[in-house]
Amino acid sequence: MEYSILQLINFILTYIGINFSVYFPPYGMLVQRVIVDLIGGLLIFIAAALTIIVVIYIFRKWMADLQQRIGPNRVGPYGTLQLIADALKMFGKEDIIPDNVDPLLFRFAPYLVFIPLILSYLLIPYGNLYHWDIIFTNVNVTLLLVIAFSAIPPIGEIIAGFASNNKFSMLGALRAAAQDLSYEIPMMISLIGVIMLTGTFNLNSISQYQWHYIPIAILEPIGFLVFFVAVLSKMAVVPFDLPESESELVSGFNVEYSGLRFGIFYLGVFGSIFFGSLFISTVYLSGGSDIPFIPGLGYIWLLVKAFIFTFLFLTIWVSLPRIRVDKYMNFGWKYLLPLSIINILWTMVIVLAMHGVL
Amino acid sequence: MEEKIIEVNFGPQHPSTHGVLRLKVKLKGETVLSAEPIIGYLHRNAEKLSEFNYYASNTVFMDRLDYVGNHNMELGYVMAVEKLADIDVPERAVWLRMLFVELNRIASHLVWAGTMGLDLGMITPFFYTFRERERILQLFEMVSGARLTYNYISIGGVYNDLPNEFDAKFNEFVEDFSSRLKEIESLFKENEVFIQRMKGIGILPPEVAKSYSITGPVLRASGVNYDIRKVSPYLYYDKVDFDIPVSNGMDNYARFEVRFREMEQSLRIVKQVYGKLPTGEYQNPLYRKSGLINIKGKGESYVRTESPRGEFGVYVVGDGSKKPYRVRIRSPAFQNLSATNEMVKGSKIADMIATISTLDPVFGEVDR
Repeated sequence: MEYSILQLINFILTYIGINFSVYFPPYGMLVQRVIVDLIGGLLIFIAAALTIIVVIYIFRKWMADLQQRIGPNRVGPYGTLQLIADALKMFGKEDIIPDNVDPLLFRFAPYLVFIPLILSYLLIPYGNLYHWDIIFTNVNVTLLLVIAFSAIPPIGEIIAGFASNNKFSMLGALRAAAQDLSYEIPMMISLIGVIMLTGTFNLNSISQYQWHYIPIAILEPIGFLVFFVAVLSKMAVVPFDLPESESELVSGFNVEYSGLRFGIFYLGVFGSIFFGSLFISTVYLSGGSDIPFIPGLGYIWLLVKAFIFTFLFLTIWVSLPRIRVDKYMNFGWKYLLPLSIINILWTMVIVLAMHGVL
Repeated sequence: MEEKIIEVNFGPQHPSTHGVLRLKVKLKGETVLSAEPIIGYLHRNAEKLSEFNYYASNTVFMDRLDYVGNHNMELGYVMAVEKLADIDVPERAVWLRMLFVELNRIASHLVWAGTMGLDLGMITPFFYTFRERERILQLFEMVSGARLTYNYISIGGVYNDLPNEFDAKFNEFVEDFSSRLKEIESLFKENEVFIQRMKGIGILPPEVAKSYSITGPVLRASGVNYDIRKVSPYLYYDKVDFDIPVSNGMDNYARFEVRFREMEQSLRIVKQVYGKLPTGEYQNPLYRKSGLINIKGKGESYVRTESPRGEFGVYVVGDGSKKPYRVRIRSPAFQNLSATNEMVKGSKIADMIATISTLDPVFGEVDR
């Protein structure tokens, strides 16, 4: 018997006596549903915020390890509370809005980067834990929704760059736009291969399909590679941190930001690293489906895979230099795009073979 | 749509201008049309200040010129004064000077390697190079008591003899430095992205380099075999074996390559020097402590040495008093920086940053 996490929340609410559905039959059900959804959304927000904190802590420690340093070790045991101290500091900063910026867009841009990210955390099927499926959204088009949400943050970066009225930010924004175009298309085309194989846009069905057959990363190595690189560019970390490129454009699109708004951009980077890891393990490595032979631990299995990817991304971040803009665009259009199209042809062959045509 | 040319000020507060360089850059999109270096943000008047102090006090100002290659700066000035006032230096002191100057060259190039990595967006090599530099700094600290401004080489010799625990530390450093150097080099060299960022970027043909009177590793990377240590040997450079690394690449990668080979050669020199270190005085007894104040010089002298950045020249004029009449410094980093525009014209912003970092300017010396 499998239940969704929302049913679990509903069950708990009913158990402690909050059950609107019995009072006004047609509308009460709706009210109950909204309350359950809100609680679910809150849960995922808290979970996402916590994982971001964990990822930042891991990043600092891991980076320090690779660089033969100790890393944060003063605040709390093993420096675990360092991030909370940093966050408190950021809250305490003055919210500076420079004179010549476009105040509305300047204020708005960080949210445009962060909110879609948090929303896309809602769409991932987190697998099962014991009897309960941790799935918040189970509509037919979750994959499309993820892509749609992931397309919004670059626009936020571009707006931030233009609204700042600073030449460095402007260059950063232009780079963000150029970069967005070069990776987004190969990324989507490589996802088409997944959709062709599984025949669905539903992330849960995609991960279940892989559990029944074989992880798509093995079936479509080229698509996996292209998608991995595209996700890496999506996060805008070294070697693809062109919009930010600290040593060239000072801090790129977020030069003028400080305090909490800067903090939101900063969290956004790490949030997208972990989201990218979750997404890539869901789509290509069977995500939250059961561990072979051990049912009921899919959630843990997903986290393990996601953290392996996170470590991989962080290691790449620490060890590579930044690629040049024009070379990156060349790379995107001349290598990634053709490779992703080859991947589609390859997928066609697989699909035909599966249907016994070949 | 008409393409607009934007003018951007890179620096002086910019993370990768190695201090306080300001570049007036004309950009067309990402392409640099021209870059005009503007200096003077770290001007501390070292030349003029030297006229108001005793000969011996001025080494302090020299320390603050090139603050990553301090021993070389001290050496140039001290040798000029010794030439002016006819001061003998004991043999051991000369060898000691050579030892520390070469160690300092390694330390300086290590700083360069780390910051070049930072300019390209690699954070990790920085920590590796600074770990090695730290061990050299510990050696310096042992003899001079300071980690940045040593004031170690003094007129008539050196400030202090080697302490007892120096030997163990030094041998430990020399033993594994060459393998550590290979490790650091592989962090850069075995990286495809790094090579793409460096090869064929920032071309400086030898004729242009000569016309801007560029010296040091930058010139040698353009294929000109010119090193003061070989051309007109000072100290005892004619008594040790070493090669001058030269590359014909003319680009950023060649400069990278030349500096790493130079570190290897410096290590070679350091090993030989430590083996040849004679016993005896480390300081001319006449110029110890209060003797230093009484140095008088008349006439003029010019000494050129090979600092980590190139030909470092000091011109001292004395009028017979205890203070120099005029001190003039030929700064290699300043000369090298003057070719910036030639090297970055037409390249991308990212390449401009990489090219400036391979020029390795230190602004204490550029602005003096």
